[in-house]
Amino acid sequence: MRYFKTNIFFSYFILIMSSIFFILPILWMLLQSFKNAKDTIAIPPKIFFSPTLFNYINVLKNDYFWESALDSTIVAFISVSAALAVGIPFAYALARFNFKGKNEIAHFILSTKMLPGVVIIIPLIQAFNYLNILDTYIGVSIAHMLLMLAVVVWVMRAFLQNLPIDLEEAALIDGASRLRIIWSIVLPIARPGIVTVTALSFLFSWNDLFFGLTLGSFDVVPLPIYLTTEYVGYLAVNLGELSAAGIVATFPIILIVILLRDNLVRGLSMGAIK
Amino acid sequence: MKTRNFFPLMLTLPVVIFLLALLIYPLLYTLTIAFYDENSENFLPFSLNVFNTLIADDRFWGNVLHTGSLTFFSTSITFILGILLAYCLDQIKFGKSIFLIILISPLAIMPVVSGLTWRTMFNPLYGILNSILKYFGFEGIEWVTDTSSALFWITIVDIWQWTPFCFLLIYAGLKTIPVDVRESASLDGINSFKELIYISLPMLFNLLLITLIFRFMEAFKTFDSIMVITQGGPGNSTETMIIRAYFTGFRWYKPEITSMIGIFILIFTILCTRWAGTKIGEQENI
Repeated sequence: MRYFKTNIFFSYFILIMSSIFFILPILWMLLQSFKNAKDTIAIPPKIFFSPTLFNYINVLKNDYFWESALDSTIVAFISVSAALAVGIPFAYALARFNFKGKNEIAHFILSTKMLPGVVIIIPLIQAFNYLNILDTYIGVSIAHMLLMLAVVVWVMRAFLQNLPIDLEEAALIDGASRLRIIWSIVLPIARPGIVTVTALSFLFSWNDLFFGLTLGSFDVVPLPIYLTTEYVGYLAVNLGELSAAGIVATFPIILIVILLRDNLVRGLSMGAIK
Repeated sequence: MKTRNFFPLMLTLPVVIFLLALLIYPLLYTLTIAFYDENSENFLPFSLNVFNTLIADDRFWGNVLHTGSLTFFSTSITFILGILLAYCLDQIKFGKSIFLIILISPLAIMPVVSGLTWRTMFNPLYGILNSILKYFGFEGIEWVTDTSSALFWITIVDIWQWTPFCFLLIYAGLKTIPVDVRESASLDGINSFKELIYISLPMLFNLLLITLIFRFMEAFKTFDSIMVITQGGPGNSTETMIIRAYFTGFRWYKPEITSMIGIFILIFTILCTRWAGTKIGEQENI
């Protein structure tokens, strides 16, 4: 009994200490976003101050911020739809058919997740330049597909393998075409899996700094790039507005993480947890 | 019967095209950029000049060292901390959901945003960390503006960023273990920590392996936080291979060096992917 209590005490101690560590930067960011410019750089930093919504109003009134948010949204939309359209059929083929080289291709796709973008970025820029899609939605979206295709394929594969095959066989006997079976039987049943990979893919695209920085610059400025360039100058850093903009920009992710937490766990573990 | 053979290939074709265009072609092109030399006396205009320059370059080996130490420490600490936190959260009864939300909150923040926040917190002059230290009567620290400690603090930021990932997966895994398994262990008089080491963790071996592989690759790829906080400085103290490759290509316009560093990264990645892919594929349900 005695051991039992020290055990609980130890757990609370560890949890409280690490909670402070994990929450401190986020709390600080929240506090900063409600301060006026003078309070953000006050020495010593102010914990108590008169809160203002000025920063948020400024950010929300800023057209560039909205343009950049629109860029992020369009890029995420195009790349996620394209990755689903390319990845799910292949995941289905992996789960349902046996053909030569399928595991090799599957491993190859896994390597897109692991390969840092910097390895292929220079040829990509040259090719995109030649095709005139540098600094366009299409260009950035194609590159973003690299971030998410591996997860789409591997998670959907694990998911589809666990679905019963009976319905599909019944439909095949009834004379439905293979494409029709995928469209009207497999996709509706696989919806939880699709939600998972869509959410994850969206996160990857929304958070990406590297491809936006290298393949977009003037016409396409996704939020991460906008935040790093707009609010951090050589001379002045507008800390309050930066924090407010950061919180607004990160809002969709907060929503996804809160609403789809269990789906994300399933996706991130590549189906090892069901 | 024939359609049956063609159908899976039809489903595979888009992926193959995608891989050829965005992986194979760029990789081959990277190889040619890295080895291209128009003054070469060989039959083909290729030489090992860039390779030789790079391996004779102390700064490059510094980059390798930084990458290695960041990857090693960040991966191992996040992984162990993730297990520890999952265990602790599993033990307690009161306040579970509050702790859970706090512990995964870094996952919900865009890495660039949290990087910028850390950067302002690290500021020696008006950052909050130094103010806290001064409040308790300590001297202020230079944090990321000191060459000897910058990489350490970048590692801390990486740990902050990624422990929630490890924690969340392992905690979710612990909850999938059947209650009776754990109950019978405790009835046999095994304490909860031993139960974790000898029963729970071995049962979650596949999950732990996947978590570790992904964590490792992400640590190796760390770009956002370094880019936002120090950009490789001060000096070269936080310059990893990826940051160096990025800056040589995009600030100093030396694509051949970027490509050569890329090839080093590529070889390493291929080794890891083969291994990781087989390990993940070995699981019965995948």
